[in-house]
Formats: sequence, structure tokens, C-alpha cells
Amino acid sequence: MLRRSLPRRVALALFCMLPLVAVAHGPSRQKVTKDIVVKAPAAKVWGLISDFCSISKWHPGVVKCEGTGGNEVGAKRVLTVGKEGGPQIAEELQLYDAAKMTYKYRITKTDVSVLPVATYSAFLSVADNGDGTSTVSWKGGFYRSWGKNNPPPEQNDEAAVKAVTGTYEAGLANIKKLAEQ
Amino acid sequence: MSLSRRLRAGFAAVALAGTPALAATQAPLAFVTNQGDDSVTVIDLAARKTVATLAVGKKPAGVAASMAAGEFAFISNPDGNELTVLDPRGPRTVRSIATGASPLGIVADPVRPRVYVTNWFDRRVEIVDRDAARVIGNYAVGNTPAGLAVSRDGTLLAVANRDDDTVQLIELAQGGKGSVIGVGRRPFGITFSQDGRWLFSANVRSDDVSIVDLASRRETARVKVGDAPYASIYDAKRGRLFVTNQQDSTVSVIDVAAARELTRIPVGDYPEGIDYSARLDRVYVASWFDNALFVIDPAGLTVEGRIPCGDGSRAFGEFIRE
Repeated sequence: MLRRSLPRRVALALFCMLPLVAVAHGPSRQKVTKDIVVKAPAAKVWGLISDFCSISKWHPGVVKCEGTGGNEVGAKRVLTVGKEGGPQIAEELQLYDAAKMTYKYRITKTDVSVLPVATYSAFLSVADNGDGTSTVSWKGGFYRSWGKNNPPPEQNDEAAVKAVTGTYEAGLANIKKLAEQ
Repeated sequence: MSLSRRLRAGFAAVALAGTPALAATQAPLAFVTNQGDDSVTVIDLAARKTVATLAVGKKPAGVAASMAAGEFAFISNPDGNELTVLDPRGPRTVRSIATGASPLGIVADPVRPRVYVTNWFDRRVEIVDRDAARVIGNYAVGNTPAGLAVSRDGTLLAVANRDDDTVQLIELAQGGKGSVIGVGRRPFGITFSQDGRWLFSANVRSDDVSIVDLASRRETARVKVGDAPYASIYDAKRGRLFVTNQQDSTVSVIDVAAARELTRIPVGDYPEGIDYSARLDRVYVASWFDNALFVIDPAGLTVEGRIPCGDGSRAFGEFIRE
């Protein structure tokens, strides 16, 4: 049978693609917004995160970032999560505005074991609070990875929101730590 | 002539005679579905103020609130498999109506006392009798039906078959006889021009809008817009189409006769539902991420203001009652 003869890694790759193909409307879109106030000027904080592929330098969960295209719209990056050889997430830059200190990116291929989402995109922005401090905001909109009804617990709405929330909180806390050093 | 049609004709005559009537005395109202908190924000558009927040069903998305809906407004609740009926006088919730699975797109028939509802997973459009408050039948359609529209004269019902990349036209007076027209990739929101000359579909995946000529029943142009267009509304006064681009937080403005994009207006994040008030000559856009309704001046092509809504404001459909 064809299905049995498929090499495991091909089957795995196909499985990982499924949630992205099944763009969802049955499940409803989720959102997560997280902010952190940093006791450092906005320009300094923006300097830490302004390069699209700098994420491996400031996010504790990302051990490697391989990018192409710099900070141009359409630039790509592949993140390795957790450890060398760990799960990978591919992303693409959608909008970039240095004057407003903001960019938006989408996930083009996720690994549901670490980020069980579909049709995900997010903004990362820095705002000047006018008193020498700044606020970093990370906000994402996405569907759960399971596009049909009756998702398994590891791929339901709660699991998706929890994974994204954890990702944002860890990243923002470390941006604050690095900027306030 | 049906009873309800006679009643409407009578109502119009009374309004013309100068007797205070709802349509003439009440400011235009917007009914914005808030998918994140299971509510509808009712906004007085002249005052730009919220007049009520109504609890509805689960994850409300679609809305049919134009005058074509008669004395009530209808909300689709995809996660609750039901519609919520609202009374604009009040405003208040009146009842719910059970539907098939995942009702999403919804539109009112301006001629018959009906609303039509797409069932996202089930390849059908349900027919709801507004007077009987129940589903009375359905039309078979294509895969993953999303947006709906009815021509102003009530002859045509249009359905976006999202996963077929088609729009389907159903002849309402001819027992649902229909035709299928190829458009761009993943059509979602659709709308007619008021004169019945064109149908427009916003194609989420191919980042364009299809202009369908209704006389020849063909797609005559495909106009590139922003990232992930969701829905559109036609400004008959200026011959322009306004299109929400979910992924780049803008509204595209298209010159329909020239079939080209004129500009993009920055609005809130994830702009989705869009509608036009002829009485106020303004375009209104729901921003899902920013929980707000943006006000656009269609003459100056500028954002004039924003009105706060509930969480995840979507407003998919004709959400303004003039």
C-alpha cells in the first residue's frame, strides 16, 4: 500500500503541512497580546530586535536563526527551537517600518510539537513612553493547528494560545533583561 | 403580492406621508459582531457612540442588519449552530434560530421574508423564513461556502464557494437554478453593485478582487489589492470599491470602471467586515485585532475616527441599518 511505503519523514512532513493547508474558519481565530515596560530608551530596545533574524540573540527559546533577505518585506528566517537539531519554524517578513519601530511576520511552516498554530501572523513593536522608558508589544493572530472539529488536546484553541503566550512572555522578559543591563 | 410585501409597501407610504417612522427617525445603526466575547456592539453612527452591547450566541461572525432584513437584524453564531435575532428598536435580543453546522455568511432577501446562511462544512446555503423563524430548506452549493450577497432587486443570490475558487449565482425566482463562475483563489466576502451590473469577490489567497459582469456572467477583471483581502463594499456615488486587506492592515480603493487600485488607506489590524452608509456617506471597517470600527471618508479617502467595539470585532456582512 502506498501509505505504508511512505518513508516516515515524508509522512511527518505531510502531517506538519496539513494545518497550514486547512486554513480554518470553523475554528475561530485567536489572539494574544503581551506588553512589557522596559527601563531603557526605545531606540536602544529597537536596536536589540530590529533585525528580523536577531531573534536567536534575544529569545531564550530560539537557539539558531538562519535568514535571507535582511529586513526587506518577503525576507525569510528559519528558527531552531530548544536545542541544536530541535524543531524548526519557518517565517516570513510581511511588513517592516523602522520609523514606527514595528514589523509583522507570518509563519510559513510550523512544527506543531512546539507551536500548534495555523495561519499565524504577529507584530513586534516598540513604543517610546516619553519618560526614558519604552513598551515592547508582541501581538499575534492565529488559528489552532487542527482545522477540523474535535481537536486533540495538544492541538486545540487552548494549546495554541498557551504556546503563543509562553513564547511571547519568555521573549519579552529577556528583551527587558538585555535592554536594562 | 405577499402579505409582508404589502405591509412593507404600506409602511413606506406611511413614512413618506410624514408620520414618524423608525427608518426616518433613527440614526443609522451598526451591528458589529464581536467574536471574542460573544456579543454585538450596537453603534449610533451619526453620534459615533455605542448605544448597547448585546449578548448573542457563540463566536458571532456574520450579520444581516440592512433594511432588507425587515424589522429585525440577524447574527450568525458559527460555534453555536444558531442565529440570534435582534430588534433594532430597543435594541435587544429577541430569539435564536437553530441552523445546520457552522453558520457563517448571512444575508437578507430584500423581496422575500427570508435570510440565507452558509453552512461552512456542509456545502449548502440554508433558507430561513424570517416570519416563521426557522430553516425551511436549502440550496446545494460548492465547497466551504463563505460570503453571501443578494442583488438589490432580489433576483440573484450569490455564494462564494471558497475552496472551489468560484462564485455561484442562484436564480431565486427560478427554483434555485444557477450558474458557477470561476474567480481568484479562495473567494471570501462578496458584494453586488447596487445597479446589479457587477458582483465583486475578495480573494484571500490570490490577493486580488474579481469583478464579475452580471450581463455576461463572466469575470471581466481581476485587480491586485493588499495582503489577504477579506470583503468589499461598492460606493455607487463614486464608482469605487473599498476592500479590507486583513494581513496588511489597509483598505484598498479600486476604480471599478478602470479596474485598477487607486490607493491603500491604513486602518487597524486585521480589517474585516466593511459596509457603507449612504445617509452619512461614510465607509465603516471593523478591525478584528484592535476591537474597533474605523470611519473612512470616501471622498477624502482618510480615516476620520474609530469607535471602540468588543473583543474580536468582525462584522462580516451588511452590518449597517440605514
